Amino acid sequence: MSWSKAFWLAVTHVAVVLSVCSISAPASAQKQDEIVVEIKHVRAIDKADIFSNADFYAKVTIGDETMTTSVAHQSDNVFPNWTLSKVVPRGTHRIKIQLLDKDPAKPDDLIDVNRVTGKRDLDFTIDTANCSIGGFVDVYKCGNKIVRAGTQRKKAELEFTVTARMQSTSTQAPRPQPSRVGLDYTYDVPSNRRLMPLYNRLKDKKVLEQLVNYISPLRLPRKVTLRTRQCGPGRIREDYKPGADLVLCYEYLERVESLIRDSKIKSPILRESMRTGTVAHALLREVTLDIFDQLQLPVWGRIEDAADRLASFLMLRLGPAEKAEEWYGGAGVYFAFSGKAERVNFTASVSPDYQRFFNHLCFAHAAGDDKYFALANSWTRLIMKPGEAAELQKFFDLVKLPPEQQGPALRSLNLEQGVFTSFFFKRIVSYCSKEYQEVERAFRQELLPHIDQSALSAAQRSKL
Amino acid sequence: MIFTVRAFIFAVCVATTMSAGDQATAQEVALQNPNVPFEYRKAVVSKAEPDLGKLEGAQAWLEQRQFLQRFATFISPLKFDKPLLLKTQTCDIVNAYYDYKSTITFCYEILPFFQSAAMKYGKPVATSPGDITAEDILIGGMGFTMLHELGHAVFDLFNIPLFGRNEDGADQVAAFVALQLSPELTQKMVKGGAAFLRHAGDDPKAFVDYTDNHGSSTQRFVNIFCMAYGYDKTAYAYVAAQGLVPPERLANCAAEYKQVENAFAKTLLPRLDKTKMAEVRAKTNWFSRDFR
Repeated sequence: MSWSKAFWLAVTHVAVVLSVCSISAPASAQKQDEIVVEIKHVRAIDKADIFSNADFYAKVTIGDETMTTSVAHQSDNVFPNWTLSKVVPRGTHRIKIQLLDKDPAKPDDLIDVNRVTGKRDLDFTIDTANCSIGGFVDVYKCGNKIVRAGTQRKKAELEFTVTARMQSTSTQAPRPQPSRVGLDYTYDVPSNRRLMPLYNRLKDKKVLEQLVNYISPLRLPRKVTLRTRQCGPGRIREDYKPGADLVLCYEYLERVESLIRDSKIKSPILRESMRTGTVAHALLREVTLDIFDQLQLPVWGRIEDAADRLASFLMLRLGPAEKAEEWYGGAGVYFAFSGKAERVNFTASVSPDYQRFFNHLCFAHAAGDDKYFALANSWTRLIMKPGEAAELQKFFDLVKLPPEQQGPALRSLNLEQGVFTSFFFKRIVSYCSKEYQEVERAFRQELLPHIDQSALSAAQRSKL
Repeated sequence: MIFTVRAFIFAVCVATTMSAGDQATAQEVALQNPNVPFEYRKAVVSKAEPDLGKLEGAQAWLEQRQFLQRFATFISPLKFDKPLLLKTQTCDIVNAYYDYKSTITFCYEILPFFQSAAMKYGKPVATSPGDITAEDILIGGMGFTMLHELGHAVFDLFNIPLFGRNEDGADQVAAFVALQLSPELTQKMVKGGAAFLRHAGDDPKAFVDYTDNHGSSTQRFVNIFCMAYGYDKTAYAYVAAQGLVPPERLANCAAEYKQVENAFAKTLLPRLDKTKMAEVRAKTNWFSRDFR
């Protein structure tokens, strides 16, 4: 059996009809809560105003409503007990606190109350269902005293609490819809006529619309625009720039088409999966880079690898049900073929595609889902010699056996064979689950508070 | 904030480096965290590797220099909820590792390895800023290795979110901490860590070697020097001049350093005991006493 047939068999159950993923949930009775923010103490750390004491006041944004407090005149150390509140549907809501110094002569100064360099205000979330407050390094619950201080010029220390009071149930309350404000997309027309078919294909299949819809439950401070465009000869990717559009180059798709041609893939399903999966992963990777920047998330490890890992994780865990395998499988095949064709550069900040392939493969093995396990096994056939692939298949089968049967099965393998003397064997056994769990933990701690879970489908919510 | 971190790490990290037979002072002992016990297990000569008989010498070398005591002092401001054991032992392989059961092990086999690498690859004396000396590789390399393992330990024990690869993150912890030291020790740690990685092994040549959860030696070497250049492009001008990091990546090195600084500020800084930091900072003569 050829590798393409083997892969085809593994993905025959993948839906090929492109459709927009569903993110709506059934309407139901909506419970409401009142979010209350109380600012108890403000202390200037340095002189906010060189001519006099501070005239502090605060702007508090709960959800989409911004409220302003009174001004505490001429005091660098004030206990104002400012209280601001808003009734909201039960769920996760964003809160922003800005501390300002009133200045009659010029625009008011935004006082730094955030220890993160370059960010002066505080952004966090509250889940009124369980009264947990997210977005800080420390874990807080309703009513906990939270103290934050800035580090830049014109800084202060702020002490406040956040609580959620249960309100009466309103059966008629409208269900919050996922906000489309802040999400946009554009298909640029390429000047190079050679790229026109790729432009037309993306546009006809509404690829960006699908991706925008997929990421719409994300709540980010800044607008996100997905853009496809011609990047220039030899450029298959544009570097991520904070605040700029997230770009997919037509030249990247041209490379995918070239790899498909060279690989002599016959299966239309596999061809289509490779196209859509590669595009989805590439755009999600740009989105995750933007998430890291917009939310100023702590990222340990090379940021490009981190973006890859989070994109792969999101596909596995929250991929639209009818497209998850197509996306994940297609991206995996691309990495395998691209890795094979690529001239490796180990000095770059982006990992070679072969490394990206094994990272992607690792997660497929660790996801605990047979369909991804089958995909992963099929991919290995794409890159290995027939003997190695067969031997490795025995190992994959072994991993799924009950522990008491693994020992005898392991002894039947030829562990002197190249593939088993590599780190791949060791990584599957020892590390892949750990790597997957690391990203899951990071996702839960840092990103989940910024996702409107009411905007996810029931299937997606069940995987959280 | 970073100034504070820098001052703290300057003071504590020098305490971890290997000095010529210093005895720990009462102040050092007082700084040690009771949650960080240490033990020197007896070096065992392997029958399979008779050359490892020299491990008894490695044990004496490390004990004499109070290697583990000093490392325990170094990490005393970290607020661990449960004990982190530091130990040295015979492993039959050249390695240092964190076992995800609250123990960092420094194998005796690694000392002869570093000593050999220092003799083989290090210059006796630096004649230009970019020269890497034998001392850089021995002292800096061993220090960097322990900091790398500390990175794994804090990720695990503090439940730190890891979007990127754990191994690269541990390298970043080591490089970031190293970069907060005094300029001389910073250079030593960065050069030692990078040189060790440069000579630790060949780059992958076959696809099966791309599979490891570590980056390749070249990737790790370039990552460290890129962070250093991003932190201070004047002090690390030789990184650009010698092409240790390719020109197309140099422009991004400041952002790479900033990324790690942000991660450190958000995840590790809140876990530091400021009182202990101050105590450690007060001890400023370790460096000169150790290396002069």
